[in-house]
Parts: sequence; C-alpha cells; structure tokens
Amino acid sequence: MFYISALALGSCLATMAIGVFLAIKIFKIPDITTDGSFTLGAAVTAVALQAAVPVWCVIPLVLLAGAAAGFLTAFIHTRLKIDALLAGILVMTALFSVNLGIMGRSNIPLINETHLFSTENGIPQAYKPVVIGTVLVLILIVLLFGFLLTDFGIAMRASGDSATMSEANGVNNSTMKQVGLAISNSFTALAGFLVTQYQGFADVNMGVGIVITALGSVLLGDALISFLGIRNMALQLVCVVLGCWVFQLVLALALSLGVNPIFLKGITAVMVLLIVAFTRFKSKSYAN
Amino acid sequence: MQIELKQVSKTYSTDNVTYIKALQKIDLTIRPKDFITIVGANGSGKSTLLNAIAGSATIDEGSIEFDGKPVQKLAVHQRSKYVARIFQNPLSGTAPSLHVIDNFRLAALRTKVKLPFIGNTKKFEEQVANTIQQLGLGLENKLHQPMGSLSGGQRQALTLLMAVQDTVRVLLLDEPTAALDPKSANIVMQTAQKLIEQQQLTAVYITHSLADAAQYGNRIIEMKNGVIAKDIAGEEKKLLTAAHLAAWFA
Ligand SMILES: Nc1ncnc2c1ncn2[C@@H]1O[C@H](COP(=O)(O)OP(=O)(O)O)[C@@H](O)[C@H]1O
Ligand SMILES: [Mg+2]
Repeated sequence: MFYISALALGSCLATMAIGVFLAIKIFKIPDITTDGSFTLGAAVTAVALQAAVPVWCVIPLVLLAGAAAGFLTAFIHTRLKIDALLAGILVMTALFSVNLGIMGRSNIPLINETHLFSTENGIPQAYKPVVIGTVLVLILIVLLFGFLLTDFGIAMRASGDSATMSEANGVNNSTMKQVGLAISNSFTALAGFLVTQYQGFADVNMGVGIVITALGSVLLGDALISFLGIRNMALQLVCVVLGCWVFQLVLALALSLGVNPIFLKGITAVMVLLIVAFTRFKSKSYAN
Repeated sequence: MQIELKQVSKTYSTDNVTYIKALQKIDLTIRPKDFITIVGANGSGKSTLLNAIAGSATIDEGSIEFDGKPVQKLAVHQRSKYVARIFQNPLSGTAPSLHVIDNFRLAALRTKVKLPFIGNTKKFEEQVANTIQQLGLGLENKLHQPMGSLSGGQRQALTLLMAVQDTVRVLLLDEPTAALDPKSANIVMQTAQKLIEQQQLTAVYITHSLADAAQYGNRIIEMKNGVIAKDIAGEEKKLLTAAHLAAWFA
C-alpha cells in the first residue's frame, strides 16, 4: 500500500506546490524561501498544538508566519535590490535559527495533542491525510482562483507577465512581489502544518531540500498543463496538485523497488533533473 | 497638462570609462494640447527624452514638472497617472499571457486603485468590445484569447485603445509603427490621430518617417546629440514638407 502513503504525503505537500507555482509561474520570481517557510509552518504548528491551541486557530497563525517570511524575501529583493535567489537563500538561512528558536529544540513530537488527523470523524485513518489535505487544497484553489480574477489579481498577474506593461498602467511591481511572495509562502507554511500532523512531529531539518520537491511537482504540473493545453487557471492549479501526487508516487515507487531510503534526496534531485530535461524542450509560452 | 523640463541632463555609461551624454541641459516646455513630432538620428536622445518624462530613465540633473509639480522623484507607476505610453516594441504595451479583456481591465484602472473585487463584468466586456470594434480588425471576438496570440500590429493598436480606457491627458509615442507592416502602421497612426483629436490630448510622437513628421502635429523638434537642434511650431510648422525635413538631414 505504498501508494496510499505517497498520496497522503502528496496531499499534505500540495499547498506548497501551489505556492511555488504561483511564485515561479505566475509572479515569475525564483523564490527559494520555501525550505525555511515550510519548516516555519511546522514549528508554529508543533508549538501551538503543544500549547493546546485549537487546530483551526493554528491555521491563521501558520499562514501569517509564512506570509511574513515571503514578505521579508520580497522586501530584501525589491528594496535592497538584491537578486531574488540570494534574498531567498538569506531568509531561508535566517529562518533556520528562527525555527529553532520557536521550537526550543530540534524536534517536537506530537503525542497526546489533538490535531487534524487524530480526531475521529468517520474517515478511515489511512485516508485522512488524503481527504483532508485534498479538501483543504481545493478550498485554497477556489479562493485563489477568485482572487486572481479580481482587479488586484489582474494587476498581480500582469506584474509577473510584463513588468513594463504593468508599471505603465499604474501597478507598483515591488508591492506586487511582496504580496505575491507573502501569499506563496503562506501556502508553503500550510504544507508544513499538514506534514507535521501527518508524520506526528516537527523537526528543524524537515524542510531541507523541500524546495526541490516543490519544483519537481510544479514542473510535472506544468508539463500536464502544456500537454493538455489547459488555459483555465483553476484547472491549471488542479494540474499542479496532480503533479505533486505523481511526484510522490514515483518517489514511493522507487523506494518500493528497493532503493535505499538514504538516497531519497538524491533520487528526488535526479527526478527533477529528468523532468527538467524532458520538459524544457517542449515548454511553450508566449514570448514577450 | 503642461510638462516642463529645465536643464535636464542624462549620461549613460556601461563601462565607467566611456560616457554617453544622451540628454544635455534640455529646456523644453510641452504646452497643453501640443502635438509634437520628434525627429533625429539614431542615438540622438529621443527615447531617453520620453523615458525621462515617463520616469523609466532617472535624470542626473535638472527638473521635470507636470503642471508645476516636480516629478523627478516619482516612479514610473506613479507618473502613469498623468502619462500613457506607446512603446517602440509593439509587444511592450500589453501583457502576453493575460487575456485581451484583462489587459483592458488593467488599463481602465491605470490611474485608480486596483481593488480585490471583480471588475471584469459583462457590462465592461461589452464596452471594450464596442471600443475595439472601431479598429475593424475583428478583435472584439478575441477578448478571451491571450494577448500573446495576436500579432504585433494588433497588439500595438490595442495598446493605443488601452491608453484611453482611463482618463489620460498626455500620450507619449516612441516610434509606435517602426516594427509594423505598412497596413498595421496605417491603422495605428490613424487611430492615434483620431484619439488625440477627439480627446484633445497632449502628445509627443517620435518618428523616423519624415512624411509622418510633416503631416502630424502642430510642432516639430529635431534632436541632435542630446540637444534640441530645432523647435518649430505654428504656421511655420504647417508649411514644412517632408522634402524640407529631408534637407535637415542632408
Ligand atoms: N539604458 C541605456 N544604457 C546605456 N546607454 C543607453 C541606454 N539608453 C540609451 N543609451 C544611449 O544613449 C544614447 C541615446 O539613446 P536613445 O535616447 O535611445 O536614442 P534614440 O531614441 O534617439 O535613437 C545612445 O547613444 C544610446 O546608446
Ligand atoms: Mg529610440
């Protein structure tokens, strides 16, 4: 039943894939704050649950924390005119200390805390992460889709698509990047929230390299979007979720074939490399 | 709106060894409803002049005022409240991945706050379709196609219409037809002239076409090595023909 746990993890990570898709494909910012904001979401979750904060109240806390991290990266990038990649690395590195500070130690297990997957709600235990994670990401997709259709959403999309056009039409591109990365990283933090409850602990190292997983999921989703020629944004976001699932399934398949788990990160990297190699010759988008 | 440049200078350097004086102590007053054509050799500073006004080139010295208000410190997006632009690259004025209608929606909000509410209503769509119809290119049926699926000429024509979706008083056109085929160029220039007349816009129009420079506008400026070499208005401008202008460059 390796695929159930793969789907479970895929469902928990889906919001992160959506967040990174937004940053890279819609706002066109190569943001790698991800490793840090994912763990930040996990740290806030573990500490809040330990303090007996009701799980539904933990969500806004996690979103806010992630948003702050994303805003900081964008602020450094736009105000101090530092390359977006470097700004992301700086914040990601600093977040390691912040996360350790929040947690107080490197690992917090959830034992007696009630959380999303511990409460009895009629869903069989093995399927809980899949069902709850999927419902959550679908709600997010609907909200996000609606938001991107608003006037502000159009301005955000235009800013990522053509900076010249957007600023000529009164859009402050710096503000858009700040809001964009705040949204993107709040979604990433939400994945940290789900994964912490899925695996039953938060660890300060759990985000290491997660940005590559996100990237692989986004690339797979993007390949699906191009392959099917999907233009509707809501469906595009659904494709990204599918990409996230497929990515986890293939990883799990590799492990079930007897690959030593020590090499998990290595396989992840190789998989992303293969996806990039196969998709980059076919990616079509409108030239500016 | 009156635009006043006083002693504006701009120097470019890519290697910190050679310096290019793109603008040298330019004094220029663009009066309300002026329609100025600008001619001049490549590299004479025409685009830099428009970029300085729009804010995409920050000036080293001097001042720029819109109706007496200094604007040197305002960013491009802030100055876009007062000036609309048409770029030399016909693809620059529109966002390729966004649908035609979304491009128009953003243009309709150029001077306004973009709120998190849906403004792309059926009514707005009808309005835009009506506007686009006047081009006679059938683009009103392509509102829900990505802008990037249209040709450069079509996009440049739409950029013009987008410029007047929201209140506009100044239109800056930098060789708007240089990259277009003659037919598209014609559509774009006729649309431009119609809009400038109907809406009584102040316009600055850079061109290499001496015929266009003679035909359009009430004032003509020749730029040479970063300075204004000639500035002719009124009756004297009316009498200028393309042949006269050709003599300037002989
Ligand atoms: N961004 C830039 N960086 C360096 N040099 C520039 C830049 N923009 C313009 N220049 C230089 O400034 C001079 C004037 O350019 P420009 O205003 O574009 O001329 P024109 O539009 O009249 O052809 C040219 O020598 C050009 O090479
Ligand atoms: Mg030029």
